[in-house]
Amino acid sequence: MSSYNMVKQEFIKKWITTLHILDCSVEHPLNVTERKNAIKLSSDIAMAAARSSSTVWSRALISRSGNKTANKPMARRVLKKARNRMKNRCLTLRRNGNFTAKSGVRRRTELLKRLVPGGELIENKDYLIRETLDYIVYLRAQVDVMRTVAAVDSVTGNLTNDNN
Amino acid sequence: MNGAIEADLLLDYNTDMSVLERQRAHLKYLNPGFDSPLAGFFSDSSMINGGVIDGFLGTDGLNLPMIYGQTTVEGDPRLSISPETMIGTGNFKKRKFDTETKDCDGKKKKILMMNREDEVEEEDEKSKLTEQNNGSTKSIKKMKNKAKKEENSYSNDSSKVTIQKTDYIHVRARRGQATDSHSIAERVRREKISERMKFLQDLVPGCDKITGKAGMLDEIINYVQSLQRQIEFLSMKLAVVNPRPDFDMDDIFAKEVASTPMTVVPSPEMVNSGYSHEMVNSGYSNEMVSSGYLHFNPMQQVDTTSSDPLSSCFNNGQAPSMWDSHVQNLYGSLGV
Repeated sequence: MSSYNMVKQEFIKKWITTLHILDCSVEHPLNVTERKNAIKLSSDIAMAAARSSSTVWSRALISRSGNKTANKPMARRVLKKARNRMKNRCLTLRRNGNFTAKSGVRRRTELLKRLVPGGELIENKDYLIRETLDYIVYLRAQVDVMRTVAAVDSVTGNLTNDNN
Repeated sequence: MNGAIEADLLLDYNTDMSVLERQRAHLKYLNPGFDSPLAGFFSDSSMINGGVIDGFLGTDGLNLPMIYGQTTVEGDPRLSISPETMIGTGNFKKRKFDTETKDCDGKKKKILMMNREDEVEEEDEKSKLTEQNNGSTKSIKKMKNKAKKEENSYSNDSSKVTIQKTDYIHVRARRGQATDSHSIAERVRREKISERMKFLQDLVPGCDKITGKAGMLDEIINYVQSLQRQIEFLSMKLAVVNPRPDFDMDDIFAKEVASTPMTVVPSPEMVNSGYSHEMVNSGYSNEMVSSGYLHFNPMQQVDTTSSDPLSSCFNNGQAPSMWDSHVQNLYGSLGV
């Protein structure tokens, strides 16, 4: 029972750090959309970082996020390997698998592959399901944490407004 | 719960235990103290949600200690069975070979199959408790292997009573079924897939009635999509509430650290306690006071700009790896 809490704890630790870093790096004020994107990006990175590199989806998520952040040369150089590997494999797969899947299971697995980050790279259906399982657990943790924070915030937001 | 799960399994298979069940019964026999590490995995989440039944998420009270998997078990040389490890997300190789065994009744033909798991991950550690079946354990006890060429090395390894890193699952054919190694492997593979499907069924709420791969996949896809949409919505909500992206974290952080002396990284108990009274209850005045004070703390964590706080945060004492350096460089790109 503590494993799930540990997952959430890992996630929250990394999320705190990411948010602080993001906050330092970006100029204020941000509009709502930018803030939302920053939050989402930071939480995705935190989720992938909390899960170590042994899953395909976490690696894919990190490389995808690397594209979204400001393209500093240093980051580019370091992440280039991971990103290019992912990108090239994705492209070749798309080119090869250009047929539309007719049977239900086939179609759905391809849909699932698109949903799970890095799923397109996984050939083995067995492994895809395992990755999906893992991804669902971490998504769930992310949702729970965000919901907690949002709930706390709504209450404390009211309190601070009263003080002001 | 366990009875329900096993009953469910029994419905699908013959009255004989399925091959996987037999493996697990054997494991249970060898390692009686083993318990599901993720027991109550989902019962916790239901507690966290505080009983708020999200309509889409359906029943949050997934009180199943579930999961499939294997554990590290000390090999018994008599049985010449090597232990299993947890399912890792690492490489997965299979090897098959045949052996003959002597049974006390001598009627069943036993065939062994080897699996190799390289990596062990805690988050992937899932195990399912099955009730011990006296008959099957007896038959396993009395099994004896005759070695073939490939097998010799493995039985030599297993004769050392150590927990090996590469582990093997032994599978037996049921009576009256094809004993060809290929079909055995095929059957195990199918059983694993179906078992994983069952796990998914428990993970994804509202899946009990659905059978068949297509429906299951549909549900999984819907669930993943819904979770992703929820994340979008929640991040938008957080963005609306807070003037700055990191503002929201201070409150949580404050609550976590308020009860104990100031530390940079919250300890497990603190986080858990933070979760347990996450809501309206105690410590709001506490929080108001300490949030300003604790502002310094998180900022310090970042301002020290050396990789050490970050790495200690990420690694939790483990050695930094390529992964962590990737992540840290990503953070560097964000921050610098």
